[in-house]
Amino acid sequence: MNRYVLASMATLLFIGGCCSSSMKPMVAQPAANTVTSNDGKFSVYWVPQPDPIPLNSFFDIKVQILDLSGEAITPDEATLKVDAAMPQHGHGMNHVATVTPQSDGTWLATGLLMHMPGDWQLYFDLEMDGISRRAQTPVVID
Amino acid sequence: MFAQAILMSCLMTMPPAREPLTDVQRRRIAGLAQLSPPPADPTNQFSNNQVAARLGQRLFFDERMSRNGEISCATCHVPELGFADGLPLPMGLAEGERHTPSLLNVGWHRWFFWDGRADTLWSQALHPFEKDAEFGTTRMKVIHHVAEDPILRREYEAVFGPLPPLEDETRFPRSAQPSGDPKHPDTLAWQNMTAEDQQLVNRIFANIGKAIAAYEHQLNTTNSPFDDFASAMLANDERAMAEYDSDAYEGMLLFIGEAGCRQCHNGPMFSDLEFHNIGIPPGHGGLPQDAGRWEGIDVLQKNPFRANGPFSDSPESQRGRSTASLIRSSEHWGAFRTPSLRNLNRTAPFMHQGQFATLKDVLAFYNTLDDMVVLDHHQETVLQPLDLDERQLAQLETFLLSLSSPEIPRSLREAPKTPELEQKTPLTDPNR
Ligand code: HEC
Ligand code: HEC
Repeated sequence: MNRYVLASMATLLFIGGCCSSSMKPMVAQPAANTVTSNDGKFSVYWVPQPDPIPLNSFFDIKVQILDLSGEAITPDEATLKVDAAMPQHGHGMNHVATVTPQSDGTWLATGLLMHMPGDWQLYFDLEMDGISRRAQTPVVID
Repeated sequence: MFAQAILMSCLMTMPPAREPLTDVQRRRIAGLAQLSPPPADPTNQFSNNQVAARLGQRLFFDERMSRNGEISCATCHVPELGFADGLPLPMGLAEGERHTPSLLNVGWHRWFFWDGRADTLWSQALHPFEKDAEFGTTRMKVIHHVAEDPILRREYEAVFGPLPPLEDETRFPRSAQPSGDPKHPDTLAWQNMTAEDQQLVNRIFANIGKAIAAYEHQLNTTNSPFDDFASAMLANDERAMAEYDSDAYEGMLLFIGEAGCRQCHNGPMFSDLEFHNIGIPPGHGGLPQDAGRWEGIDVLQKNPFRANGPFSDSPESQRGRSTASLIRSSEHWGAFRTPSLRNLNRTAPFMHQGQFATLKDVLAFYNTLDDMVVLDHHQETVLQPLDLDERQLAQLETFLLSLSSPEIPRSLREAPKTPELEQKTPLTDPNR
């Protein structure tokens, strides 16, 4: 079984297992909401609420993290930070997002705000065993 | 013959053909239209209270609270000048350091002042009283004034409940305030009060701010030619859309398109409500000395009247949480809040020190970026010279002027009418 099959299975699990009924099914745009870490060691599944991410108003992100074998990495074993920046403009967000572990082994990041239209990068920094590793994905806001 | 004449006159009044707007353009235009009053402020439970607003309006025009008895909020926020003052820098008891912003639609803002050092309209209103160059008074004097004027007192108590025994000057001195020079008599008087009485006074002071904010919350403009165009667009009313001036229309397409203005001037205020350093040369020449947002965040987070502080009616609201989660970083040095672009027809001069006298000057700056002050690599790198031709610049200017609305009702532009008239309107607010 290759990674993509695993990933989409996990995606389905994620939808079935953790999402409130108000969340849009991720299968609608899986590519945009699935990102592999820069070192290839884990995958991040993320769902913004509301979706798509609004310009200049607060939004949340639900996050689940899976290792290469498709096992969930949970808040018991790792700490997650979520942040965003506009690298071409040399600035980040004006607020620190709060990331709260959820009882189902996922995380909820709240208090994110992208105040300008344009090219943002969304960062998921996972700290485990004293090492911080990053997954990042472009987000275009208009 | 007759039919021909009608046809001719139709042809003559027909606007030049416009390309249909793309979906992206329509969405961007809709995002700029201001079709509703500003959102309620959860940190001020009186923000929609009519009696509170009337009290606030009285205080706004009341000169008796200033040290020389000649200055009110309306001295600098002149209703006929869009609640600004027409000067580069304000003149209260002394000249101020930053340009007076318009208060039209001010309830839409997220942060107040050019540096955002207040996070609610009610906490903003408390600053001018104790500022030396503005009212030069103290919170204790302001409170005594409200308590001793029968009309102010009646309205205050109708909204906020009974005042404590302020006539007891052993507990409540004539003048006192916490900040400033530690050896100043006002500071010493404040320190001699009990912690409970200080809290009482701060609560009353906050309530006074909430009344003023309730008034300011009503200073909303509607129906600018641009808003009318946007409403017509949303209703797919081609005929009404065609009434929008064609230069304004072309300017609008530049604004939301290649001129890139929308990057910062977005949302119904034509402001992202956040802070940028666009390198406007300081009015005093030389290098910029005003730290702007960098200092604003610091002042805000130390202020007991902040949105997540003890006098807020909802410290846990989004507004409270957004103050708690603020990041302060070097890119904020010298950054100022993106001003609204509504009603610029009556709020010249422009920028945080009134550096530019006219809209033409502003547009000339964006067009060439001549004299732009680039401090260091942290500065915003969004702006590029626009290189627009004269015609396009004129179109942009016409567009900006089409964001101007008719005057707000006269009843909001002056002190509330005399007490005799007052008797007829019920004092108890039905919302309470
Ligand atoms: C001496 C002139 C002066 C007086 C008097 C004055 N203001 Fe202002 N006001 C200013 C200036 C200047 C600023 C911007 C200062 C800054 O950004 O540092 C300002 C900012 C404001 C803002 C923030 C607007 C925004 O867009 O962020 C509000 C609201 C306001 N004033 C209301 C009031 C009220 C209410 C009073 C009376 C209690 C008052 N002002 C008295 C000059 C004045
Ligand atoms: C990078 C963000 C940004 C962009 C892009 C931008 N502005 Fe601004 N604008 C600001 C800021 C911040 C100020 C206030 C700067 C100051 O006072 O130092 C401002 C001020 C202004 C003012 C003065 C308003 C007043 O009341 O003082 C006008 C007019 C204006 N901009 C128009 C435009 C136009 C037109 C464009 C597009 C050509 C544009 N802006 C692009 C951020 C931006």
